Amino acid sequence: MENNVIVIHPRDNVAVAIKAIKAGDRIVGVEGLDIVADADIPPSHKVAIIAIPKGKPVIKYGEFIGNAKEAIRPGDWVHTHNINTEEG
Amino acid sequence: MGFMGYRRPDGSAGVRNHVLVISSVSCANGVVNTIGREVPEVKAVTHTEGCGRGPADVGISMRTLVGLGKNPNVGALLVVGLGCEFIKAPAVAAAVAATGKPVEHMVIQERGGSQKTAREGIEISKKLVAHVAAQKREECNWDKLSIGLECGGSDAMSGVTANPVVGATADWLVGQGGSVILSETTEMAGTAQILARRACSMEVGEKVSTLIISHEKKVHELLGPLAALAISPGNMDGGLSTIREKSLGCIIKGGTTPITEVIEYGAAPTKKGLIIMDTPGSDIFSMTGEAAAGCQVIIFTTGRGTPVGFPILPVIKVATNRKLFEAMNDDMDLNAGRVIEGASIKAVSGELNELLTRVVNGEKSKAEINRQDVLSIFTVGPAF
Repeated sequence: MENNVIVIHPRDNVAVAIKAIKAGDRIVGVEGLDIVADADIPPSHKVAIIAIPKGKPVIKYGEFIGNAKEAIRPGDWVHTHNINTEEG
Repeated sequence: MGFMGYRRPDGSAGVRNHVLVISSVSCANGVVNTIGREVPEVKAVTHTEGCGRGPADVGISMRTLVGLGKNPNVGALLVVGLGCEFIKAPAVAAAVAATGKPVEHMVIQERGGSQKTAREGIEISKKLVAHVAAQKREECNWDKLSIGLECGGSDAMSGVTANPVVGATADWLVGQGGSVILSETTEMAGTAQILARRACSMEVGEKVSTLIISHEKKVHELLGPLAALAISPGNMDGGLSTIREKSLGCIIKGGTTPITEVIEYGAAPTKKGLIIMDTPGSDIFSMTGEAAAGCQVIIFTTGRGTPVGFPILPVIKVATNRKLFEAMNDDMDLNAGRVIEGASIKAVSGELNELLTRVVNGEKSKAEINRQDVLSIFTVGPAF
């Protein structure tokens, strides 16, 4: 199966969809990871690849981009609904 | 191994060998254009500045014009002025002549009008063209190369494909001793702490952070609630959740090496490595500042597709997706959309390094083939 995500930086806890992912699709492109998407994830949107507890940083490009508004599970679509957009 | 360039008397190295004919003030543009029509081998460059501006803008314009003349890709320079303007042709010429390259100037009010000046300018230009034609490329080290980074007409894949690819190339060049200039302060919003931490010293870190924070404040004062549009609904549709995430996707172009210096618009760096220049996000202003700083090449990422180039620099266009690469193939040099198709960022960056090497050795970029020569000097104040 072709990759449907890429991880930009080794420290990232989210991957980026490189094609449209349907809810229930396997996430392919991260070595050793066996998870499925919890929701439809459009291309260029983020999917969690490890659990991010509530209030903990979401990391992309190896850097903090926002805090988890709620507990985020691997396979969850990550966007404004579960990231605090406030600068912290 | 380095590249084959034109060695200049000041120790710099050009990847092109242009004769630049430029106005010191817009009133001289007609003469510059006439010379350009009669001697098509020159790069005839006009702009809108040179007079009728406040002191801050006179400073920026002067620095930019001198920087463009000093750019290593310029083998010889002719400056055309009117006579009564703020920015005088002899002053620009004298500042550039310090590099040791051939520099001439003409003043229309002293030469007896535009026809006479153009006729004499054509003769001078032909001599300068013959002079540079005799120069040969010689081997130069990569540490002589400085690249300007730019993104314009970005899309949701810019921060996923093209910008990380360019970032890997930036890291490679800095590793070879060269320089990259990251500009567009607007697009660094929200990253003050991140970039400050990456500075080579506390002092540089403070400069980075002050630059970004003062810019954020200015944008907020000017735009009020509209400042929130720095992250637009379109960006959010593309999956960007925070302004910081958007900015990180832009600044990844600069790679991951320490920031060695922060410079003003159009100023010449004194350090090698990753340099930050304060410019607006508007592509043409930003490219003009990078060229004035001495960059010999610009690498430009785009997702929507923009054709712009620069008169004296090759501009390499990196498309973020295959659709754009194919739809505007006349304007695009590399398809970073291959990252979406399974190629690694490292592999596509390797292709970019090869393309860059060919271009600095003389292969024309698409923007050069298309003669997409555009230039605008940034201003901060009103015109009087």
